[in-house]
Amino acid sequence: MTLNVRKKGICLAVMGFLGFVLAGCAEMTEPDVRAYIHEKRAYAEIRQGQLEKAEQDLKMALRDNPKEPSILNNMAYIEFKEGHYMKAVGYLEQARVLRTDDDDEPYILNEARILIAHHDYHRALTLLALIEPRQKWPHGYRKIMAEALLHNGQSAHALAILLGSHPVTLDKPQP
Amino acid sequence: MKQVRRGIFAVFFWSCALTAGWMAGGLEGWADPAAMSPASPGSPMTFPFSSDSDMSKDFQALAPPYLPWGPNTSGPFFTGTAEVEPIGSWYLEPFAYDFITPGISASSLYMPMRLAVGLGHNLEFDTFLPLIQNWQGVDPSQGIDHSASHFGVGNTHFEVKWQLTSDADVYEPLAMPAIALTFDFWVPSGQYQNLNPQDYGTDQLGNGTYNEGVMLLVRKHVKPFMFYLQVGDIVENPSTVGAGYTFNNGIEQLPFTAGNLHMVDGNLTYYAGAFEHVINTEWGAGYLLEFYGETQSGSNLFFGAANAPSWSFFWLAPEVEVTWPHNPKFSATWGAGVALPVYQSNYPHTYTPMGTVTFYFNGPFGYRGM
Repeated sequence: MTLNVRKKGICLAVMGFLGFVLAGCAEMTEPDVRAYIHEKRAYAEIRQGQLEKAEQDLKMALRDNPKEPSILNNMAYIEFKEGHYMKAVGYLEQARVLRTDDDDEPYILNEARILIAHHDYHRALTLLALIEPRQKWPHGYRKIMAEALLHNGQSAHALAILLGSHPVTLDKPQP
Repeated sequence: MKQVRRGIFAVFFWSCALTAGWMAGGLEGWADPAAMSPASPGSPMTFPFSSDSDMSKDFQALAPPYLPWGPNTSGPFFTGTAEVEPIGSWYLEPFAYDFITPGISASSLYMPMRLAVGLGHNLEFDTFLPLIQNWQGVDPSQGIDHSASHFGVGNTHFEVKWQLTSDADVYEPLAMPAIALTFDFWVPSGQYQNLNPQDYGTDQLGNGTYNEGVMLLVRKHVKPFMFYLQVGDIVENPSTVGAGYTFNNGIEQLPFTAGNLHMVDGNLTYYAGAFEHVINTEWGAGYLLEFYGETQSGSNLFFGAANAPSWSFFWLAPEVEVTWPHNPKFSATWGAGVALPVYQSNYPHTYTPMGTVTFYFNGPFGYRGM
């Protein structure tokens, strides 16, 4: 009798433990974590030039976390490399909307770059003008802004941008 | 003379040709391709930049933003953490281990007070100053019921921890874990000589040896789990012990009629590991399953054959933990568990209820492993 009770107790304890562990395993696959793992893999694939694989991983990441701007940026990167200019701009517009603080700068610069590459200078200038009033400008902003201004016939303004002594933020290191 | 004139003519001719070429067609030949004007496609605009398509080459793919996970939990009792306290942070951690040995009616409440200070440069300094309350229910030499107890300070333990790597990814099981080495020193500050026969061994609070140890610590996060491992080797220096001395297996004792003994302990291997499941990250609430064992061999690594007994044991310990309160400057983690004997050789059958609380005083860089 006592032996049976002890066996039942051990069984219950083991089952409870397994239940907790399985619940933990389920947590390992929560959407944010899944998105992060796919995004990380995709970033490595982009760096290795495996764009098709990266696209698949980014799509899976987007399914789990459609609001992460860096995923949208990297989707835009792949679309742009594949020649889908409009799709690339669309992704970057979404990324920019999701980041309303100064963290939107990489997305603004990337969007301006492809707008200029497609001779949409006015739109590029409108976009870049969002950064001009800010206290610090991101690295590379002077050049791209001056180019957009020149294309829009504002050479004096371009010169002021190039020669001004506005502080520049340092690039964040990319792992 | 003729040749000099020809040379001057050649230089003049080519200078004129180049000037004419520049006036007619700009400087395309000497600069990056010019951008194309949107107003009149095909006509180049001259300014000192790369072409529009070159600009798109600066398009940057972005690395995923860091998704942190490293809750401050109490953690295991016997296995160390591979991360060091950041500089400016420190913690105080009183432990209580009650080693209960029903077979010989003895218990030893071992209460080390740990002070850990982050030194920077991936280093941490720890001290453990133990207070011990021993209790004995029988006279071990005769097996007759006798009650005795004694309270005092045990052996002091110092540790320098050197963190070699950090956990590269807290979600990937195969990413590089945090790895550290510790260099440990024990000073025999606990009483081990001039023992009183009336105390039945309870007045012995240390084994009387200076010890040195090196440990390897590993910790890997795989949210919501953490895995810990610690293996190490401890060399116990020889020491002179006297009447009534109990060897470090807690069983064998020198008779009170015996003279002094030049004791050489065997090589001591320490191993422990733990599985931790953090159920609630915010509260640092979770449970652990830990294993722990030690083996003392029959010979010392540096001092030859041992005359102290060899022994070994292996324990399993279920534990629970919670963190409260928790804020950036201060937090306290609480843990409790019980170590259960699984295997022992020449070592007593010991049950060990345990408890701990850690008071973290966090500096600007937070707590270990965050």
